[in-house]
Amino acid sequence: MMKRNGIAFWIGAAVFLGAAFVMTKVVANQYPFFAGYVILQFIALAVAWSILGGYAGYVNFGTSAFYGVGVYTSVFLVQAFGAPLLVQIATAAAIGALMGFALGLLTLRMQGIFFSIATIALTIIIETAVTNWRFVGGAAGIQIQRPPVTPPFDNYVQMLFFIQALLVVLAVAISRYIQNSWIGRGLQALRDDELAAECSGVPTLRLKLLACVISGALLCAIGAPAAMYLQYADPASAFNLNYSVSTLAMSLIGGTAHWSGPIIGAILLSTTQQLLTVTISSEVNVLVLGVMLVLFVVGAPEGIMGLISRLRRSRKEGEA
Amino acid sequence: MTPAETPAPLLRIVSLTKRFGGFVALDNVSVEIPPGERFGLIGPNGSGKTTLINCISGAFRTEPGTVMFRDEDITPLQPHLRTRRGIARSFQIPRPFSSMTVAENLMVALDFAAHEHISVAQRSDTMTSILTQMGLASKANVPATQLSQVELRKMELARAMATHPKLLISDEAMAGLSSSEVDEVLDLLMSLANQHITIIMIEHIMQAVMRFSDRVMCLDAGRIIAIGPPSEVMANQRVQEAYLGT
Repeated sequence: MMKRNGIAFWIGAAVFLGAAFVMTKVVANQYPFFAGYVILQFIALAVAWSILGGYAGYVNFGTSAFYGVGVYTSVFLVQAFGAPLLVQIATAAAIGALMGFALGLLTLRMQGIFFSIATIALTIIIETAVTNWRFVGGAAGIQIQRPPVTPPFDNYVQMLFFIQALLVVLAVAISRYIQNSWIGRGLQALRDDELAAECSGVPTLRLKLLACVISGALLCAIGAPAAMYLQYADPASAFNLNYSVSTLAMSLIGGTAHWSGPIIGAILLSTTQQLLTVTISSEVNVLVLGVMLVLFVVGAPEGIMGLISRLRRSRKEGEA
Repeated sequence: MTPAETPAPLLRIVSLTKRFGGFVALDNVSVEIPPGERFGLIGPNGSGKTTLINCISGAFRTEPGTVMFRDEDITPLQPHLRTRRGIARSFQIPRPFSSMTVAENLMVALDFAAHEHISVAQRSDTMTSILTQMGLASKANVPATQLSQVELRKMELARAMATHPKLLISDEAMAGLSSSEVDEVLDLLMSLANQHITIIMIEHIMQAVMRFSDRVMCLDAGRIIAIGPPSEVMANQRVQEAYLGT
């Protein structure tokens, strides 16, 4: 049963990547890749966020800190060494892991809302530091030249689109593995009750650190290609609190109990946001995000996945 | 008795002191508990009973003082490492993993604490036998949030048993239960003791303590004021004063 699910999952992932690749060969219009990149980026962010925020229950408002550090890791590497894209992403992941480790140490002393506030502070501190760092452009931001595109792609944005699709698959595969393994069970236990988990043999600190490191590495890596995508970076947009709020809203609206929840939430919200940005304005989509979050917190606190499993349960009870 | 005939104590606490700021919750407590003993721990509210078991299970750091378990100094160990060495506990106010079913609650303990003793293949059998013993077999797939108070208490004991303990600390597992439920839980603890598990029972219900314990210790204001056979401790002048407040 587990095995069959696993095969189905990997077939699904391969089909998804295949479709993304074929799209870069067939679709000539550039807009779907620009919009698709943003949607894929939010799917990956929401999935990575929910490893710590969902499974472990440590609500991280610092997504924008990790994302921004990812962006500026790329900026720095390009400025200093002209490093290629894959090196940028890998380095961002390593730095994100270190940041996650530091964040994990915070969980030693802070829980609940105090942890969340500390993560906001983290964003502000790092943003302030980058704003005052001349080499990467400081407050004014910096223009970045894209290198020539690598075959088999013939357009840089299409390549970034495919790479973001790869990051989505990576994030989802890791999240799914965690949920189905002992790590997921331990995180769920410590989310419910840390002391009871510890007294049942769960190494809570080690698991929290692991969740922070994995989530942090992914969040940073996902941010890294954004510098090349925009060909420009400035602290106010790279560390924009919108990334934190959107990611959190997508995860919560989708539901964090299952790995597929954040995917559903991110597709739903970021597609809506893209449509609204094009049809009305980019300001309205922030409003819609807020309204949807409020509706879901009131109507379906466990998100879409929670709603589905509740409906399924009540139907089963109805049959019995 | 010569020393050779005395079994080495399972748990040895040596001059344990615990302060919260200026308040001394435990003051130089020393006690030895031999394997297989049913040990009753009593004392008025705020006398340090729960603090003592928090120090044994590792939720609190002790300063100064030593906790020895099976001849090993476990004082510096984190709680989960103590659990893996065989110290399990229940909580005064039940702390279930509320997003899980009863079976999943036990699975956490089986996965993380008993993994050295029980193979993956044996886990579901072990779980079934614990749940059956605790009278929870029919509740295995029920969410923990839907349990009654007495079922929650039993689940706490079941989860503690799933860690494969040598020492089980029951912190007021009978508080707030009806008298027939008290008997039920007491019988459970008795049956666990018959499986060679040493049990420390904290309880306010004196009848239960008298019936259960081989030995009783009474704490008051962080000090041991009496220790010995239950009848002796109950007859002790200072114990009666501590309880009646005269």
